[in-house]
Amino acid sequence: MVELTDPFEDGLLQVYDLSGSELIIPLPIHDETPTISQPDIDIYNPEHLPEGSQEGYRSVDLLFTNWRYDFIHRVLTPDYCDPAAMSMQVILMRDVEPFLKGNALDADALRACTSYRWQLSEDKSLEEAKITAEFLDQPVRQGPSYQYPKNDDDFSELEVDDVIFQRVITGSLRMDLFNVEYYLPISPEHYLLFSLSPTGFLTEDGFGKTKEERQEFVNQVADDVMRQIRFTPSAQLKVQMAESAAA
Amino acid sequence: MKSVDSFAYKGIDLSKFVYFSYKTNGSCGRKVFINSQLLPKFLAQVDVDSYKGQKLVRQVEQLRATGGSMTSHQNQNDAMQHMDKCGDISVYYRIAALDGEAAVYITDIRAGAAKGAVPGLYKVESRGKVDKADGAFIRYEQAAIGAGASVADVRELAEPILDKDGWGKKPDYNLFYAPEALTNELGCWMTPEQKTFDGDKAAKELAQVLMNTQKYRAKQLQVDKPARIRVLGSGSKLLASALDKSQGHMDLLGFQFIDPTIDLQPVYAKLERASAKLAPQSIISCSRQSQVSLAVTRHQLTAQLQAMGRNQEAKTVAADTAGAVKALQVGQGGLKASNLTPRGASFVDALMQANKLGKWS
Repeated sequence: MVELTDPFEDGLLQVYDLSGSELIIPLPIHDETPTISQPDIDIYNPEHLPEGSQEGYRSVDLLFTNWRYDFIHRVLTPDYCDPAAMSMQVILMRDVEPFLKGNALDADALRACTSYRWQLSEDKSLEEAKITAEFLDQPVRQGPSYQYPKNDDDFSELEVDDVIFQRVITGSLRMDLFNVEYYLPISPEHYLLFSLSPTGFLTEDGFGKTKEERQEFVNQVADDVMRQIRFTPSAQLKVQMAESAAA
Repeated sequence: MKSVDSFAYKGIDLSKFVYFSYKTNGSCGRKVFINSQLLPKFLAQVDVDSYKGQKLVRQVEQLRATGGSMTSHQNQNDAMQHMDKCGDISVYYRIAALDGEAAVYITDIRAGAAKGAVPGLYKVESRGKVDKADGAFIRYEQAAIGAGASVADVRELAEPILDKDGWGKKPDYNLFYAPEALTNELGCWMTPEQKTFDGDKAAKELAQVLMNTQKYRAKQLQVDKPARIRVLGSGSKLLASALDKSQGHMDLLGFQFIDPTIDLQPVYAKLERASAKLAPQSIISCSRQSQVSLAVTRHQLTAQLQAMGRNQEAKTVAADTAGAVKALQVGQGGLKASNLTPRGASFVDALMQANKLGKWS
């Protein structure tokens, strides 16, 4: 098993106040400055969620950063590329019908919302493939575009200090490795999306013989990153969670 | 002591080499020399006043003891050529024994990249869904051309710059991605001899994308507005190379250069000939890498902009790069041949001086 350097070793902590709930994300050392939103966000204030849509959902990119991994025991090689890189995008989302039906604090509703949004992307991708085929005068590309959750079995849970993230493996079937996405509800209509996207992790570098093995390695790396994230719900959120659990 | 400027070794003009710092003049360990022409490149990639920059300087100085050792990368075709990684920067050097004493000659420095991301055209949807593009053309109204360690690296640069729709929603867009290492190897005014086949292939692909996009907009979409293409950082090198390989009209393509790291004048001349469109403010330069790059060739660039009737922009470029020009002049003034004695100014001295006097704002 290969051993990778820990980019978070000298990292700083980025603390967000999301209407009383505290989110702490360690920032890895990277040569580019990460893109970070304002740290104090009133999730109910539309101005704090500047990205909107016609349908009424709003969002803000809390964080966009990426980092690289190197082997702990570097071998003699003329190749100077790093074996792997990972990027993390954290989006705070306020979702609406028809995407989110019900209470986001209810795991089933959040899972259904995720599946539905991916289904729309898949439909759109097929539609675009038709237009492309027409322009290039080629046969239409067959088969699905994305791997995405279709039912409950496609989700798993990651628990970090009593906080439960809904985990799902998604992405394009034409790209090498899939992304690992984590969803965390922070109000009946708001949730956080953590999307971790791998680059590299190739067989020749010892990350696994098959694509499945390499994906499993990536999933473990992504889980390790998520285990460093801390979330403390606000008093209001605790009440909402209790209400959701009772109902 | 024999001065270094009387040697020529394996195609390297040793007269250009100076001591890296006063610690590497041979009084302790091996001598470490650096090509003085790497000053703009060093200035662009390293802020020597920062902790990270200082750490890099110390690591390079350590080459007097560790250069060519078991932890160094060695070129398979040339045992005397080595590479060491100092943080995110790769330092390339040769070990040559001249006059019986081995010394380290730093020939190049480069920013690193990660493996595995394939160059080519991608599409990026909302919430970061990334996929390979279906055909080799830009289907959306906006696109970006960039280079980085990974596709995500370039997305991070592109997304704050793209125009949002009336609701503030991020657009779907096409992204032409090239690995950072590949665009470095395409070369620019610093290392033009480093052209490689792979870079060539990516440039050909981009040329095809540009030509197809022109056709797609004219025939399929039948629009007269240009696609808005942002060229990010060292993506400008890739575009320059692609323009050499493309032909025909490009009046349905519009370009804007964000932090370009290349001599832009020939690129603008080619865009003008192909009647390509430019954004109202076509050059936005904020990074130090880009400003150093523009400063080196700013006379040619401002002249080209004026010839195209973009006088206001010529003035902006001149003003933006004034600080970088000063930094370069100060730095290179400190690296005259008379300073090549062990007590003279070293590369790091010149670097520090350039960094302090030519203020970045």
